[in-house]
Amino acid sequence: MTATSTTDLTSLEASWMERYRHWILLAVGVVALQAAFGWVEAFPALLDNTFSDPIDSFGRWQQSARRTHWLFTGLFTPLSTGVGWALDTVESFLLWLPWFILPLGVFLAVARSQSRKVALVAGLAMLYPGLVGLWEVTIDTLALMTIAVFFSVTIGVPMGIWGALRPRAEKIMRPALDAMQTVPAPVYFLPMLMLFGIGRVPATFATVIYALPPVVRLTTLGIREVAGQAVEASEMFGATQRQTMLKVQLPMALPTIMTGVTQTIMMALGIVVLATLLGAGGLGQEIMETLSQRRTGRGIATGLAVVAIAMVLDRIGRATVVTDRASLPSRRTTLIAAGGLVGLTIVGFVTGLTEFPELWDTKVFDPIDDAVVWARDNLSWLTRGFNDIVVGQF
Amino acid sequence: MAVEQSQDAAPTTARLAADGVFKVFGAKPEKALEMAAAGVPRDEILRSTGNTVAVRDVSFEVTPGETFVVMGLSGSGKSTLVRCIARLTDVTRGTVTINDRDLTAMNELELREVRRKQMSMVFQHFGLFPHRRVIDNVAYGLEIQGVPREQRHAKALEVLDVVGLGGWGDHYPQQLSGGMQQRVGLGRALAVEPEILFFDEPFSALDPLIRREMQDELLRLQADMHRTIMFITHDFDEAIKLGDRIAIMKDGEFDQIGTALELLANPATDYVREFTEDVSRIKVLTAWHVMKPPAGEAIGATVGVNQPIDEILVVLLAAEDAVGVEDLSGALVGVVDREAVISVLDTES
Repeated sequence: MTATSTTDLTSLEASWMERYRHWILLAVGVVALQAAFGWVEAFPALLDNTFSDPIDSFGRWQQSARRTHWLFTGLFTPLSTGVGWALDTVESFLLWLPWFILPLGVFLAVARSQSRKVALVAGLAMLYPGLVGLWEVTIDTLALMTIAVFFSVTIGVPMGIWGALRPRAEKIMRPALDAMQTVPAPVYFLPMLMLFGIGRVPATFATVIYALPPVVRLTTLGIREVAGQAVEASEMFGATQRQTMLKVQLPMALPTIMTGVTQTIMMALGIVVLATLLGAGGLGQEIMETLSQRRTGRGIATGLAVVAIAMVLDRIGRATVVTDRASLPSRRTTLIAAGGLVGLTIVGFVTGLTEFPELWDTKVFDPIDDAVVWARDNLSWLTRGFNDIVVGQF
Repeated sequence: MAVEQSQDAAPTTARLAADGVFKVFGAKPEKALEMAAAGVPRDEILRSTGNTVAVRDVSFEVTPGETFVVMGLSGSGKSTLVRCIARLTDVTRGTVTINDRDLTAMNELELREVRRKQMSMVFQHFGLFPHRRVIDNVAYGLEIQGVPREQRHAKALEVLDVVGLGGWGDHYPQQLSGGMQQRVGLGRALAVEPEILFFDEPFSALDPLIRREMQDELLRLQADMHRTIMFITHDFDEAIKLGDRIAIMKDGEFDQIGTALELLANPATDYVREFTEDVSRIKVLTAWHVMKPPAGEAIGATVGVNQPIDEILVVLLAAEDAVGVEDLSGALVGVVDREAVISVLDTES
């Protein structure tokens, strides 16, 4: 008995040394370095320009190589042209449709699986930008969102599947995804500009980078969450990994994946204003302009249009997630609704009702501008004092 | 099951066999495996190696058409065992053979082929596909094999009728009650016409009445289909009702393998006795447990093959002679006389 307790004690001491070994080594190392080099005054900038220099010189190089090097002629320029074409096509299609088709389509898409009330609100939200005279810039933004989200999903879902199948891949992806979300977006705006020039194409890619993480993460999560017994049942029938993925795991993960897609859409809308720096145009441009002109009212009107788009896309995203399949309308009803939309499109062209009627525009928000100006002029006794306290005290 | 048990002819070959199967969880199982093989208790192995021994040296054979029940409480390793046998997890040591082919040595392609053609599983929590209609759930195995849609739907409809779900094909699983969902699970397993069916506690998630109904359903189906069945349960009554032979599992090992009568008459360990003690023999044992093959003796009356002894008792008392035993189709399959019933009553006390 005594012998055992003695060994226990020694091993306890040994384990103490063992446990703090790294810290002890670190402390010794720091003291030694300090003594040898006397790095006390400033942080040693060992890596100073190691990372930034190559990128900077690449920036200079690409200016001359843009027209000649295969990287641009064979890859980035065609990519840029293709995406630009897609953006234009989507935008001109949406503008080509009679204006009432889009809000109606939104209503029907949402009403398919949600309550009428929710669908009605979504439809009205789609109507709002037109009512305040922002129809075309909104469509501009909507087109960019559509293409960016399309890319995010086509890249993100396979990445998410990969992460779900290979835990090691996920371990590598996770910090990369974290970085994509935390690095301030303007930092990768510049490389985008270098690769794709200025305009909506780099804005699209920047949006994709920023908006990609949620769909990747939630695809991985969704697939992992699929009941183990369903996957095993599939395996027991001799299904290949691909069959199980396509027939069981992906369909069962769909609600979670769609949550990821919705979050991706929201993220994309979140940098719509910032993307203006790249030449994205659309609502972001409008907001920048109204702000620089200090037109608070119009700024609010435009901001609300962004909110409306967010709402529309979110409701459509949610409507695609069907929890109760039995309550869905029949195929016939769906066909009638789709046919109705096509019919109404034709009616729109016949009657000439294609462009959004100019009822109001951002002018309806001018009273807000006036109110802000009035407040500035007449409430200075209040705001000034507040300002002084804030500035003076802090 | 009951009707299928041939009491005279010994089986020739095993359809399904396990030989010295071990399953050890955790990294580097070698040392734990050695200790397990040497008979060191589970707790001790866990403490010294960090490995959990889930299945220890299990061997058995299941003959064609036989229902082999593995009965154990939670943590006994019974679910791990059936997963090892179906190779949903790999065994750490030992072999599993299906029709004399070594399942443990098969590559992925061979394993898939065997699974497609020869075996199916029914799961405790059903494992249904909520995004597929009932008919597409049932047709799943055929779909995986590449059977054309029309053909597999025809087969699925047929199977749905067999499991009593005719007309429910277009519903989604979550629209069905638990018992009906497990009927879908059963239908899905039957649709591929497997030789071997694995049941991993298929009825334990159901309420008692539905559970009994499903047990009867399984007996009825098995009377026609003669599959080889490995059935996992924690319910001793269920084991007696369904099993031709029963293995009692404890701490990853088989304590005893035998027919219900053998277990009740001669429990090999105290653990087995704990289960058999509380069992009311005249309620759980049925005609097929105690019957002899008919040998032309005089028969006073007949009883059903799945009728419990306490019901037969009444008939026997009223009849002068032995009573005949009929299977579900009405054919005479055995005879029960007074001695047989008295011997059961004897073990009761």
